[in-house]
Formats: sequence, structure tokens, C-alpha cells
Amino acid sequence: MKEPILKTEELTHIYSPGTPFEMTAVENVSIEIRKGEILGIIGHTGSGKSTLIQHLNALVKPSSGRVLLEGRDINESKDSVRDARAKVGLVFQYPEYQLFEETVYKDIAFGPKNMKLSEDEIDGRVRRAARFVGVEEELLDRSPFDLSGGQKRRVAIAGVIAMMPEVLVLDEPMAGLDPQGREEIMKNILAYHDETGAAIVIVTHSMDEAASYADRMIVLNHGRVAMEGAPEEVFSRGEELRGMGLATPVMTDVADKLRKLGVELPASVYTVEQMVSALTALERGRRGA
Amino acid sequence: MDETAIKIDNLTFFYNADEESGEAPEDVLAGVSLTIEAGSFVAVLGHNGSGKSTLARHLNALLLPKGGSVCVFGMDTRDEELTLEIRRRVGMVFQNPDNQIVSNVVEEDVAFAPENLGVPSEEIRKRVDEALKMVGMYEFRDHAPHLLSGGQKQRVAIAGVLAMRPKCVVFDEPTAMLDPQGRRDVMDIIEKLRREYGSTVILITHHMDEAARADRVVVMSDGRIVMDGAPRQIFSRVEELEELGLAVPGTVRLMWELRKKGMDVPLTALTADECAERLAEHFADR
Repeated sequence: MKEPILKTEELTHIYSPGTPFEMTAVENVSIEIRKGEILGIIGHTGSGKSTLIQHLNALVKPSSGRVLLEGRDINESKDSVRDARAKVGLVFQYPEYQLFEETVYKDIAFGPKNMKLSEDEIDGRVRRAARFVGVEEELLDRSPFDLSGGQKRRVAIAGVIAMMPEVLVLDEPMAGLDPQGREEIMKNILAYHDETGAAIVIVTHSMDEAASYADRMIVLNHGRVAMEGAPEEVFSRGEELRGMGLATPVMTDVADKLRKLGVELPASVYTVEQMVSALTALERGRRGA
Repeated sequence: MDETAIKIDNLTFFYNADEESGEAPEDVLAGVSLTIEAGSFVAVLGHNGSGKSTLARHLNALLLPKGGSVCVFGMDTRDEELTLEIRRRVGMVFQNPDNQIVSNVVEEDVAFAPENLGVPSEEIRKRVDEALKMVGMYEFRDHAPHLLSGGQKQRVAIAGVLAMRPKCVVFDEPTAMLDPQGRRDVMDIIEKLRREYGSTVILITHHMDEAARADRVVVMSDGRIVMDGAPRQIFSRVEELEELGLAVPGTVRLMWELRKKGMDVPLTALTADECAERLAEHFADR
């Protein structure tokens, strides 16, 4: 098993404590993010996903519990906070709304500049990050506001990638994009993962998307960890997932129904590719018989 | 005779170019003609930038044609005197519920539009209650909208539109920011609208499974309508859709892949149940 790079220990976060609006958003959550893995965090709206990830680079401080980056409490000193901000990159939902510079280049350079790197290093990182997300050189001098929605999203992601985080956390990176846009963004993220070996955490409520890329999944419900495991383990608990307001991947639904109709299928079928190979194997058996 | 809800004739539209660049503006809509019968449920698909949201904004005169015309229940949107009447007939629900909520109390928010339309206050009370019940948010009527979930806010925004008693509702990617439960709730409301009010529904979406529930699917690309037909018919054109940057529902994709491998299964299964049943028949059949 890969070793963890980032962990939360019994993390609890309470908003507006001691007021009538007191709300426990995250309760007693202990999770780990392992080096180089792709982790999917799933949960319905209000399940605590966003609050949880804002703890991962000390944007929000725990009410109780700790967040450990390579074994060190990230909230222990100014220095540890700075270290966490550099190593753990956070891409928020609809990050394109946060672009603000005059040019694409300046927007991507904003993070590395704050890290007090040399001009040369910054330039190298900006160009590298732009390449990762498929933003062409000639766009770098344009205003980010002239770009299409999908391009803006990629520029915003490049701004975080330029900090070369060891853990890249993305909140609903594909929301609101068309199928092609979604596929491209996912390719960009995977390219960063494959080339740098960074851990990737993707927060989503799309089970079909999580099914296609995650090595491991964590399901949050009412601020607590409700399930944790490989996608096939999580998807085998379809009833529970639906009870939490989540959907199962459509292929899981097809597989469940097929089994009820007497067609025997292996337990872990949750993507179209897996279903195709399971059914073609059945077909070969049938023709052979 | 069926009433025509929307009649679009050779519509063209461009956003005014920024003056500095001096570039000629590009057509966002390049000659769209489309007729929609009252009471039908039409889904509009297209990649980002295909012009579908621009088209939607023409349906209640938020945008006016640069060329061609748009008639809504017989009213030409270019006639400014009819704008109010048109907006009374055609309601719009947008993607982001946060941008559609104006009041601090749910029921006041729902009452906002009918108040603006000069509906008498007793009638407003009735309509607000009915609209909130319709979307299942009646028990939240005295809550603060900003404390609701995204899905609940979207239902309040829909209630605000329904309180105007529109004959046609245009939903512009209403589920894009919602979780699966929120998406299901919105789709259920659409079904209910059709069943109980016989409303005309136009749904702009990226979700193929949502489009599969419509009577008719219109596909846009580069400001033009490139496909128009029943969902079953449209989703059988797998390769063309993919060339347009669109996907087909996962169930259709599965059937398509199986057929490529030489299995004799039908192509268009639009739901998980239908897909499983067709496959079970295939394997039972010896």
C-alpha cells in the first residue's frame, strides 16, 4: 500500500459555534490521501465535502482534530501553513469566476509569484502549467475574459498546477462543461498526475465520472465518512448510496437488473468497458455451448 | 388543431464586437428555424458555445433577433409593447440558483415576479402557495433562501417562475450545479408540470439521460440546428454526436460497443431497465 502524504485525524468543524446557527459541517473525519493515488470524494450537497477540503491546505482551521502533511500538523506555525499552501493545491468549484488578472500569463503566474520564486523559475512553471492544461502559448497574452468557459476553467486549474502541488485537490472540476470539455479537463488532470506522480483528490457527485478514474473512494454523508474503499466495493452498496441522495453509475444499475433477470455477471462491473468485456465473454460462452 | 407555442424563423444573432479589436462579430445563431407545438417537451443539446443558451434567451425577449423572427404564442418578440405579455407566458429558469433569488424569505421570493406583473395580492397568495407545493418547498415558505441547499434553492427559483403561471417554461441547464438528488427533483417537477398543467417545456441540458426523457431532441452546433427528432432516433446517431463533442447515454454507448463486437442487440436503450431487459432477452434467446 502506498504511504499517506496527507491525513486528517478526528477532524471536526463547527460553523458559528455557540450561536443559534451552530452547525457541525464535518464530524470526526479521519481520512488519508496516499502518495500518487487518485481519490474520489463523493457526497451530496451539504455533506461536508467542501468544508473538509478547505482544511487540507489550512484555509479553514479545525474546531478539533488535526491535519497532518507528511506527519506534521499543518496548523502548527506560519511556516507549516505556508508549506501546506505550497504542497497542497486547491481548485475550487467554478474556479473561472476567480480569474482577475489582465492576461492569462499573469493569472497563472500569481501563485508561483507568491511563493517568491525567481522570474526564470516562474516563467518556466507558467509555460509548463499552460501545456499541462492545453492552453496554447498565443493565449498567454490574451485577457482571460476573452476565453470560452472551458478555456477559462483550464487557465484557473493551470494557476494551481503552476505551484507544482504534491496533492492537487479539485472541487467538481467538470461541473457545467459539455461532455467533450469534461473529457479534456480530465485528460489534463491525469497528465499532471502521470508526469509528476502527484496525488489527485477529486470531489464530485457524479458517480459515473468517479467510476472512470478513481483508485479509491470516500463517501461522505452528514459530515461523516460513510464508506471508503475501491470503487467496486463502494458501488456494490447501491441501495445505501441511493439512500444518501447519491446515484450509482448507470452500468451498476444495468448490472443489478441483469442479475435479477438471471444473467450472471462478475461482481465488479461499473463502467461501459467492463460491461462490454463481461458481456462479450458471456456471448463467447453461449456461442461455444 | 395543435397550438404553436414557439415559431422561430431564420433567426440570426451576434453579440456586438468590442470596438477596440475592430473584428467583425461572429454569428452566434446563424439561421435557426424551429417550431414547437404547445404542450411538447423539447430538449436542446449542443456543446459549449453552440448557441443553445443564446437561443433560449430569445424565447422570452431577453435577447432580440438581429435577423429573422421569433414568435411566442403568436406574439413577435421584436414588438416592445408585447414584451411584458411574452414574459408572462414564457418563464426562464437558469443554471445558478444563487443568481435568481432576490428576497430574504422564500415566499417573498416566489411572490416577486407576480407582484411585478401587477397580480392582485389575494391571487398572489394563492399562486405562491400553489407554486411552492408544486415544487415541494411549501414547508420552507418562511425560511431564508440562502440557508437552503442548491437543489432547494433551484426549486424555489422554479416556484418563482411558476407563480407567473407561464404556458411555457425554458430551463437553461437547471441541474448543472445540482447533486443527483437535486437533479432528480428538478426532472420530477418538469414531468409534473407537463402532466398537471400541460405546460410546454424547453430544456437546455448537457445531460443525455435528461434529454432522453423529452418528446423531441434538437441538437445545435455552431449556431445551427444539425439534428431534430425523437430521442431514440437522435441517440442512434452515435458517431455523429461524438463528432459534435456530445456523448450518448451510457446505455446506448454499451449497446453500440456490443454491436461493434458482432452482438445482435438493439441500439437504442434509453434507460438502465430497458437496456437490461433487451440484454436479458438476447441471452435468453437460443
